[in-house]
Amino acid sequence: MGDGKKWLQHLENAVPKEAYGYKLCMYTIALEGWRRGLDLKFFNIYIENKVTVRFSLGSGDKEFKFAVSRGSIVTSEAIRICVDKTRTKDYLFKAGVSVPQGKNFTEETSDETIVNYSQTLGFPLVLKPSDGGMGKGVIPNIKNESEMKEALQYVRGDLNYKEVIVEQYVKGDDFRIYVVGDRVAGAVTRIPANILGNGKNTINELIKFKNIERKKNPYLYSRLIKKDRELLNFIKAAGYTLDSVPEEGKRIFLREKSNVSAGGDPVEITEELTPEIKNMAINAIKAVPGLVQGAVDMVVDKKNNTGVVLEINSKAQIAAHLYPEKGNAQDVPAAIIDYYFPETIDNQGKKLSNYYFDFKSILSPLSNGLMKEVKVPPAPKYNYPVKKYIISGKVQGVGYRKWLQKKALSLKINGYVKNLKNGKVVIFAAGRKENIHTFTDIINNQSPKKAKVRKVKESDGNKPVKVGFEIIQTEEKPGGKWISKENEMLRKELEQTQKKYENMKNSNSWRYTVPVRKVADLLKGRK
Amino acid sequence: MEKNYIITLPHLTNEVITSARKTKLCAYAVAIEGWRRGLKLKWYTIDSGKFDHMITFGVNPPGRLFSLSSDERTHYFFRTRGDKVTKQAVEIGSDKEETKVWLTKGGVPVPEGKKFTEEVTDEEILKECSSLIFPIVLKPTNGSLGNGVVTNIKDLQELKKALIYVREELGYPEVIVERYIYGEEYRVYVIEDKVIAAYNRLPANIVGDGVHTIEELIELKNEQRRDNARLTSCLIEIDKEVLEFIEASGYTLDSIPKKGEKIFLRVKTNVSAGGDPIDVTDKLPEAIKQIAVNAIKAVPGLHHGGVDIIGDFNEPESAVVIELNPTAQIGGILFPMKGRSRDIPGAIIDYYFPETKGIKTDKSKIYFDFSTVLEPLQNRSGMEVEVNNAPLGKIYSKKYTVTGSVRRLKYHEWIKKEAFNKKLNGFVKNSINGEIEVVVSGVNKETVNEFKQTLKNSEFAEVTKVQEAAWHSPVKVGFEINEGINTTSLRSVSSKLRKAEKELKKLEKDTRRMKKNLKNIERSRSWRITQPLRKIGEIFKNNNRVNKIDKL
Repeated sequence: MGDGKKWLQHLENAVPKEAYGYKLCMYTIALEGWRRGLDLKFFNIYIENKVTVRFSLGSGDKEFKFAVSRGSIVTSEAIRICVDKTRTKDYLFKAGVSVPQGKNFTEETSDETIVNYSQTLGFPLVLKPSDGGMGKGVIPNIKNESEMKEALQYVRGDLNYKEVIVEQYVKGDDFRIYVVGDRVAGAVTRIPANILGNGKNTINELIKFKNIERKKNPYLYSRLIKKDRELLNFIKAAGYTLDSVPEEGKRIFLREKSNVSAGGDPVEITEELTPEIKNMAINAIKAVPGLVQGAVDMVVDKKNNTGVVLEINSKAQIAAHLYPEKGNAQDVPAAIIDYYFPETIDNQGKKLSNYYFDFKSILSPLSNGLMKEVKVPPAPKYNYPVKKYIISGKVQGVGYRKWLQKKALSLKINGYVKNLKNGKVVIFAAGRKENIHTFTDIINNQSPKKAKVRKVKESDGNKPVKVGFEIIQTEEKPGGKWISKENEMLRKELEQTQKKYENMKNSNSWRYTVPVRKVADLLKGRK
Repeated sequence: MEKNYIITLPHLTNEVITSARKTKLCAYAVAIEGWRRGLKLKWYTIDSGKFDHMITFGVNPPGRLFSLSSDERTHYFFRTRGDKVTKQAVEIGSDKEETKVWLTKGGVPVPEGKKFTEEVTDEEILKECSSLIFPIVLKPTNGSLGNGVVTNIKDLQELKKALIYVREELGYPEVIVERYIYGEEYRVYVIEDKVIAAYNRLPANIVGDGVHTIEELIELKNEQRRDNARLTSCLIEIDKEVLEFIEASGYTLDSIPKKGEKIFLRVKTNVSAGGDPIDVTDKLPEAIKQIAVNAIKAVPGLHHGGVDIIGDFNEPESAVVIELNPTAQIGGILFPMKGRSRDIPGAIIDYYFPETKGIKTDKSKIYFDFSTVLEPLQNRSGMEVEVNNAPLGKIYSKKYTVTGSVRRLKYHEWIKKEAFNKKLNGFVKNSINGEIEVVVSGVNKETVNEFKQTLKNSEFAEVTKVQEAAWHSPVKVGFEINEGINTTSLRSVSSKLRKAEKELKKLEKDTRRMKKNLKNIERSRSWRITQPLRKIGEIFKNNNRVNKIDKL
C-alpha cells in the first residue's frame, strides 16, 4: 500500500494466531516481560460469571497482575474514577487540565430540563452516557434543540442509558494518547475506511485488496471493510458505485465513522505530537490519584496547539500502537514493563527476540475452565542464533520428524520440524552452542532406520522460534480427508438406498400384493 | 479362552483414564482422587524445581509429578510416592542389597544370597556359587521392573548362560545370586501398618482352543489386554525370551495347543512383560500380611509402598520379601484380570489428607482432560499447571439435543458462557442432521434441568426443539466447544481419524444391510409379478403430469 507503516521488528513472526485481535495486549506485554526474564503466569478468573484469562509478571517477591494493559499498581479507586466520566472531569478540572464544559444528569432529571440546560450552554453539543464504554451511545455535533431532543430519546430511551452527560462539542482531531508514568508511549488517531485509486481497479476490487492487506494485520485481521448499505449509500452520495474506477492517487473515503471495527485505519502519530499536547496527556493521567497508566482521549486543535481531554480509559487496548496502518509502531509493552520493572530496562526484551512461547496450549484450556493457572518456564537466558536445515532424501513418512524431535528435546533445543511439499524436511533450531553442534552432527550423520538422508543444507534461520520443539503439521493427514470423503459418499449411497427402500415399501403394488405374499409365505412354510 | 471381562473401580472407568498410560496412570489415579475430594491439584515439569527434595526418575514426558494442597498444606507426589517417604528410604528401596540389610535388621525374612560387584569375573561367581543349594535366582542389583531377573536356575551350566545374558547382553554387571524360593510372587501394597491390596502375577500365558496357533493365541490375548485400561500398554511381546521358553517346553509359535491347555510364555511375572495381575487381597494369609507390614516398617521413612513377596499360602511362615518398591506401580491392582479392583489411590489420599476422608463426592461423575492439561508442560510453554477445582457433591447431568438453526459458533459460545454462569460443566458438539448435542452437569439439579429452557433463549439461534435425555457418562471439568477437527493438534486429528473410521465401518454395514433388503424385495416374486402393473401405474402418473401441464 502507498501508506508508510513500520511495525516492531522483535514482534515479527513471534505473535501466534491465537494472540490476534483483542488478546494482543495480553500477549505482547506478557511476551515483553518474559523475554526480560520475568516470571510469567496465566490464570483465569470469574468476573460477572464469565471466565476471563489474565496474567501476572514477577521477579523475586514482586508480582503484578495485569488486566489487558493495566497492571496492579493502578488502584481500584483510580479505576472507579475513570469509569465515571463526571468524576474524571472533576479531577481533571481541579488539576488544571482543560475539559469541555458540561454537566451530568441523573435518571430523575427530565429530558426537558436537559434541553433547557443545553440552551444555556450553547450548541454544538455532545450527548453521551455517563458510564458507557467504547464510544457506545455517543452523539456528537448536536446543532440545535430538536436534534438534542431526538438524541435524548435515542440514548435514554432506545439505548436505555438513563444517566447522561451533556457537554460542549469541540472540533478537532480525535487522538488517543497512551501514557505510562510521565512518558507518552504511543498516540493514535483513526481515519475512516478508505481506498486509494490506481486508475485500473474498481472500488469493489480495491476494497478486496485492502481487506487482504487488513487480514495480514494481527490487530485488524477480523475487522474488515464490509460492503453494507451504509457504505454503498456513502459512496453513492460522493458520486461513485462499486464499479467506478478511481483515478490514480485519489483517496476515496467509504464511510463517515472512523471506528476501526467499521473498517477505519489506525494511524500512529506519537512522533507528530507537540510537547504541549504530550504534557497535557501526562497531566491528565497524573490528575487521577493512583492511575499511573492509561489512554487519554483528546480532541486536538492542531492549528492552535491546544486540546481538551474527553475521558481516560484505564484498561485500554494498545494493539493499535503496535499495528497501525500508517505511521511507526510504538513499543507500548516495553514502556509498561519499564515502568513496572525498571530494573529490567537494561536487559531489554529485544535482545531475546529469538524466542516466544506457545500461547495456544495455555489459552484454550484456561478459557474452557479446565485449568486455573499455568506458570510459563523462564525464557532462555541467551539469544542463541536460530539455525535452519533443509534435509533431502527419503525423509517423509519414515518417522524422521518424531525421531528428530526426541533428539532436539533431549538437547534442550528450541524450534520446530516440518515436512515440505517437495518431499524435503525443514528444521529451525536454536540452543546452546555445544548442543547445536551435537545436533548438527546428529542431523548430518544419523537418521531413523527407515529414513535415508541424502543432503543437508545449513543456513541462518533469521526468525524467532517458539520455546519447545514441535512437529508442525503441514496439513490434515491425507487419510483423514480421504476417510471423510469416503464417509460422505457412503452416507449418500445409504440415503439413496434407504429412499429406494422406503419407496418400494410404500409403492402401491407392493402394498396391494401383501395378501399374495402372505399366502406365498405360508406355502413356503409348509414346504 | 478365559472370559474377557474388565474389573475396575466405578470411578476409574476406561473413559476417565483414557489419556493416562503406564506410570502416568498411577499418578493420574492418585491425583484425581485427591482432586475429586476438593484438594488443589497442580502438575509440574522437573524444571519447576519443586521436586529437588525428592528422588525422581523417568519424569519425561510430563505427567508424573504433581502436588495436592488443602488450605493448610501441600504434599508433592512422584507417581504413587508422596513426600512423606524420605530420600533415604527411596535410596534403600532402589538398592536390593541395601534393602536386604535393612529388612534383616528389622527381622523380616529374606532369601539368602550374595552380591557381586562389577570387578568379579563370571568364573569367580560360578566358583563361589558351586556350594549353593540350587535352584537359584540371578538378578541385577539395580534393575527395575523385573528387567534381567533370571529365575529357577537349576545348575552351574544354566548359571553361566544367565551370567552372560544379564551382565553382558543386558549390561548389568553388578548382580545378586539368591536361593530360589518355591511359591508364587505377590505384590502387597502397604500403608503404615495396613495392607491395602495384594495381587499375584501369573507370567504371560495363553490358553489353547485347539484351533489357533500359539502366535495367534498371543495376538488374541493381546486383543483382550487392549481392552484393559492398564494392560493395553503391557502387551505380550514375542521376543527371544519367549521363543526360548516355549521351545524349552517343546513348542514353536506354530504349535496348536489343545483346548483348555494353559501355556506359560515366560518365567518373569511382571505385568509389563505380559503377566496377568490377579487380585488376592482377601485370600492373603495373616502371616504374610504381617511380613509385608514389617517390611515397610523396617526401612525408616518409607511409610508406604509395594512389597514383593515370594511364598506359598499353605506355608505362609516360609515366605520371604524379595524387593521393596517405594514408587510402586498400582495399575495392575487397579485393573486386574481377575478378582476385584482395590482402591489404593483412596488409601494414599486418606493417609496424606485424613481430614478429607469423610468428604462426600460423586467420584464417578467428574474428571479432567489429562492430555490437554499436560500439553503446555510438554510444549515447554508451562512448567506448572493448576487444574480447575472439581465440583463437590452429588453431580447431575443431562444431555440436550437441540434442533433448529443452531450451528452458529456464536450460539455455542453463548451456551458456554451461560453454562459458566450457572456453574455447569460439559460440552457442546455438532451432531448429525444439523442438530447439536449439549451436555451439562453440575451439583444443582434444578440448574441442570432449567438449562433446557435456557438453551432456547439465545439471540444467536432459532431453536425449534430441545429433547432431553439422561447422561450417565462422566463429564470433564470445564466447558468445551467441539466444532470439528483441530488440524494443528496431532492428537485431535488422529482421534478424529479413528472416529471417522468407526463411522465408516458402521455406514458400510448399514448400507450393506439396506442393499440386501432392497435386493430381497426386488427378487421377491410378487414384486417381479407386479412389474407390468407398476409400469401401467407410471404411465398414469405421467399422464396426470401431462394433463397438469396442459392446463397451465
